[in-house]
Order: sequence, then structure tokens, then C-alpha cells
Amino acid sequence: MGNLNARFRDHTIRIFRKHGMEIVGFWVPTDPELADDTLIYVLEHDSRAAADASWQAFGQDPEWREVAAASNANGQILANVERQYMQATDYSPLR
Amino acid sequence: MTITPRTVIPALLTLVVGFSAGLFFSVAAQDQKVYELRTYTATRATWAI
Repeated sequence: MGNLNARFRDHTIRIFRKHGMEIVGFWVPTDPELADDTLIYVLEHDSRAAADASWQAFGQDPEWREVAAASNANGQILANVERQYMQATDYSPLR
Repeated sequence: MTITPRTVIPALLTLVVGFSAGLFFSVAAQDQKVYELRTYTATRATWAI
């Protein structure tokens, strides 16, 4: 988990911003069993199309590819990724 | 109904206001941000960088 945190802290956040991906925040579960291996974060996009374009550009970024390859050199540091797109409700403080 | 300026103008105003409101709300909906929730499960692999 420290490896994943380090990758985000040292590389991924900067590359996200390069491709227009706004970061809302990062969290870990308070459940001790989940805290050791679970990272949760939220990104903000202008639209679903913008999100798709950002992810495509991110995935093709040579810098990201180098970071990802190096971070996985001793084995994949990610076991699973889940993704959910959302829009704020009309009563959400985010609107 | 007799078509006169007194009947046509309110109808036209209603049409313009209604169209404008519809356009405003459709644009407002399109301007709404999209949020992406991502949950990562890490492995125990180590890395050198």
C-alpha cells in the first residue's frame, strides 16, 4: 500500500493534472482490514467525454508508462480497480 | 380566435420565454461536472522507484 501511495504522491497526481484531471481527494478506509490495501479517490471532470479523453491521454503519456512500468517491475502493485462515474444531486453542496 | 397583435404578441412572448428557459436548463445540465470514484486494491508487491 505504501508503494501505491508513493506512486500517487510522487508521480500520478502530477500526471493527472497534466491531462486536465482535477483531484477532489484521496481516502483510506477506517476499517483496519481494508486500510492496509485500499485506496479511494475522486476526480472531477467537465463531462464524461472529457473524462474519457483525459484517461486516454493519460494512458498514452510516455512519462506515465515509464512510471507504471517501473512501479510494477517487481510485480503488479494493483490487484483490482473499481470505477464509478457520478453527478451531484440537486441538493448536493457540490452544485 | 381573431389573429391580432394583441393575441399574437403574448403568444410569441410565451414561445420565446419557454424556449429560452428550456435552452438554459439544458445547457445548465450539460455544464454539470462529472465525478469519478475510483477504488484501488493494492497487492503486496514492492517496487524500486
